[in-house]
Amino acid sequence: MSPERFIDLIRNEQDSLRRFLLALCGGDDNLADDIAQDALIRAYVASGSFLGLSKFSTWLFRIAYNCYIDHQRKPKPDLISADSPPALNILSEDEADAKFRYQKLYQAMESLPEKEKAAIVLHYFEDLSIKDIAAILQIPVGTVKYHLSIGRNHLRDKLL
Amino acid sequence: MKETDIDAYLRANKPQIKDDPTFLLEVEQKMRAVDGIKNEVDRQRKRGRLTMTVVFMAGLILGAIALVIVLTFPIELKLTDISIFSQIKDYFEAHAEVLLVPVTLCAGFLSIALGTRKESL
Repeated sequence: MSPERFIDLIRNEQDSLRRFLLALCGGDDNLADDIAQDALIRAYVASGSFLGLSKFSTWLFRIAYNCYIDHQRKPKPDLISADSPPALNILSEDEADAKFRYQKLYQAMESLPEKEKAAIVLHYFEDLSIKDIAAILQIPVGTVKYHLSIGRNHLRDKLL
Repeated sequence: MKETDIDAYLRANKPQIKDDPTFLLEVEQKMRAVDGIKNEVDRQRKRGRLTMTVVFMAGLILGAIALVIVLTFPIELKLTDISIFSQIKDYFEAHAEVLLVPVTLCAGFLSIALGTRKESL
């Protein structure tokens, strides 16, 4: 696949891919973007093996999910920041509300097992069909439905 | 919270990504770097293949030249003229019956040893 064609294809998918990873990374947008770039480069390297048997977006999301899982499995170093803490921005009431709401949502999502979290994110945030989610997570359709149902219950308990 | 409530809550709270115009540019830069590495690897592979072909052809040509020289100028080696070989030959001829036993024993031992090794593989 030529670089131009690849860029054209990912231009349409980049927002949803970044949002998917942002939700998986608990709102850490720097980490989400790093994983998204890693996933896109992996996809570019492997683009010769994309046979078009599934949708390009499904294939891309599967790579991104695998990148995220690889990242989760890596041992994380204990980071001690030597920098001074960032200056606090004064937020408007709406912004503060939204920030609080997202924090609560991300905290609730963080407590879910990986597959449940990914199924919820893909279904509710990316509006993907159960079949597409099954292809991305490489699990049967019934298992996706199960993860969605259990995940919804867990989230309901956490967000009450 | 009901099921429909949680559905609506999740759909209404899609994470907002920050607008980052450099994101795709960074991806393009990395893609160019990957292409550079790919091209370099391809170039080295081609160079390796070319070297192999040249070495193979050189070997073939040198072999052919050697064969032509050997066939054109044959040298007859008479082993019996060299005293050590004629002595060994004489010794074997004189003790052929005695030497038959250790040679047979060695052959038997070797066949057993090799057979056992094959089984263990």
